[in-house]
Amino acid sequence: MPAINKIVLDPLSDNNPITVQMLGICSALAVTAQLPTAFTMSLAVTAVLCGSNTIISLLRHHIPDKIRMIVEMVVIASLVIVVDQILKAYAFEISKQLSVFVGLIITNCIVMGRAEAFAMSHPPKEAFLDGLGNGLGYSAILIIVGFIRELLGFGTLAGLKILPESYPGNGLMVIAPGAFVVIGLLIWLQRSITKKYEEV
Amino acid sequence: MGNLIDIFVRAIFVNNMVLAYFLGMCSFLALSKKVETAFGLGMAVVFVLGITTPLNNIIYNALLKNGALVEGVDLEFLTFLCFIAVIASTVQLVEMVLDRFFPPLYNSLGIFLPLITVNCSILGGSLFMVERDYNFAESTAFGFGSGMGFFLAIIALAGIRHKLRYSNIPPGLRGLGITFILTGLMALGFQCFSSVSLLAP
Amino acid sequence: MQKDDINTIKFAAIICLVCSMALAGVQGALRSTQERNKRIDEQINVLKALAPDFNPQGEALSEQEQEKYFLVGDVPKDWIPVYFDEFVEQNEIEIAEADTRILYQLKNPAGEIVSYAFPAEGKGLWSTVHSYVGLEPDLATIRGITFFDHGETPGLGGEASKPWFQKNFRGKKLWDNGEPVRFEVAKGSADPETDYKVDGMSGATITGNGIQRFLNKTFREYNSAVFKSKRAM
Repeated sequence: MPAINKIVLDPLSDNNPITVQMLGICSALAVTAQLPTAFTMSLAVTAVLCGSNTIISLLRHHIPDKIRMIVEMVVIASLVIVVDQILKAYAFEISKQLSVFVGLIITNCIVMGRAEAFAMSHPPKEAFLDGLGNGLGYSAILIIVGFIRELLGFGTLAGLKILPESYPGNGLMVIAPGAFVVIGLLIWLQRSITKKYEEV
Repeated sequence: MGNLIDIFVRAIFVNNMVLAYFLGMCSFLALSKKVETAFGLGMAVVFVLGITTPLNNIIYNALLKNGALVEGVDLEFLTFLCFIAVIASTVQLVEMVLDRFFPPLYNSLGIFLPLITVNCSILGGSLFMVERDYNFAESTAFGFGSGMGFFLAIIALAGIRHKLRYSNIPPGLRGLGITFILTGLMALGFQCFSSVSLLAP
Repeated sequence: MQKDDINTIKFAAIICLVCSMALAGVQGALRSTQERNKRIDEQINVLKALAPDFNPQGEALSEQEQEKYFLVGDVPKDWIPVYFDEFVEQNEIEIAEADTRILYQLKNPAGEIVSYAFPAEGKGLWSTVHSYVGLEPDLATIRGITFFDHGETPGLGGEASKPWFQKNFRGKKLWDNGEPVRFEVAKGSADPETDYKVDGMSGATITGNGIQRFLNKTFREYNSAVFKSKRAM
């Protein structure tokens, strides 16, 4: 039981996909200007991670080593596209919101990275939990960054005005370079707390 | 011809994959510790982008585009899948060819070749090519230009990080933290290219 | 060839087959539903541009109703067939050689043309932004506008499909003093006095520039191809 707890909880902070493993950074920048989109992306990636980890883990004894990357990519991409097609037919509103994210999910290296690093060598149940844990760790960072950027950039949260009308909005937070600075400072904060420093 | 040069130069500076579109960030940040490794990865990206973008262009126009293969058959839903498969196999193919014929280059690229499969800038390059409706020559110029842009950016970052070894950085910010902030500042700097155009509008 | 290689090829073939069959199956089964969704979405967007201010019975809508139906896009689904069958006319017109495009005309119950709408599209930062531009019968003032089906960054360029940005355009002019104006999407907020400028989206200069470019260009094309002669009538 403790092992399972560890699989889920570890990626939340100590082994966070974004701040420690350096995976999935592109999408963390692209979708965090506002809180709602950050939230949508988090849900989508967590779902895909759980699914792809489970499938890859089920196939792990059959995948030939030489072409494993291609196989992993193909499985992941098909999974994402099938889900997108279904949404397009039955939940058109959600799929319109998701349109941009579909590509970002496929190329998100978290999905590939976890498939390669964990699912290839673990049974499906653990692989599923690893997907869940990493998805949540990714979501945590996305939502924190989305929170900071929307609050400081627009003075709003999820579209609701929080800061007084007189707050002019900070243009730096709105554009992507602002996201880098926010993530950089978050990493600083996290490492000051965990005391796990990087050697130069 | 002017058009091609325009696309090439704009892909390097104005539409820089890393600093303007923020694609390919993961390997950009992870592998820029040393100038040598940055050089290796940069070269590999130039190679693979330069090959896969025109290749995907052919595949898209000959097979996937609406009505390209058989009149009335639209295979565009396979776009992502085909592009990813082409990229992954090109990477492995390039790896084998280099290993066989250019061992020194192969050794210097080392482990970076397989990592490129998951570099979002590669898939991004192909998707931009479709979106902007480039023809074969244009996609070649665009692919190489984007690769050069990545190369330039990662070498610059590695150079700065090399310098940073002699700076006194707070321990928590060391490594990844300061790299993020640095990249943010570089991206801000690159924004001033955004209105550059070689052709008169 | 070794047994190992054969297995690899076998496996690759099976995976490719399974994945593409799955995709093709899903696509085939869902295509008609998807196309219907797309068509309805397109028609809603035409209506949003053409008639942001009255319902199919030709009655004026209150501010709140306009906001709900045409800015948020929550058009009651049973309006669409009524509008499209009875009031909206599609004309194919020739813009340039071998380039025909559509001009929509909306008629009120009395049969008079009350607005026009034409499709416009162009590049934003990442993707093609699609748009319908609705004009008053004077062929100069923007009655309504929509931006949809794009892949711009959510929260930045993606704001183009939000009500506040589209509302921004209403009442602005594309034509004044007998010639097309240079319409601008401002960087930041526009001077409320001017008729040719709208507020921009913060952090999305390139999307804004793209919209400005294709809006001006498409209006000019339509202007010289059809509006000129219509005005002369």
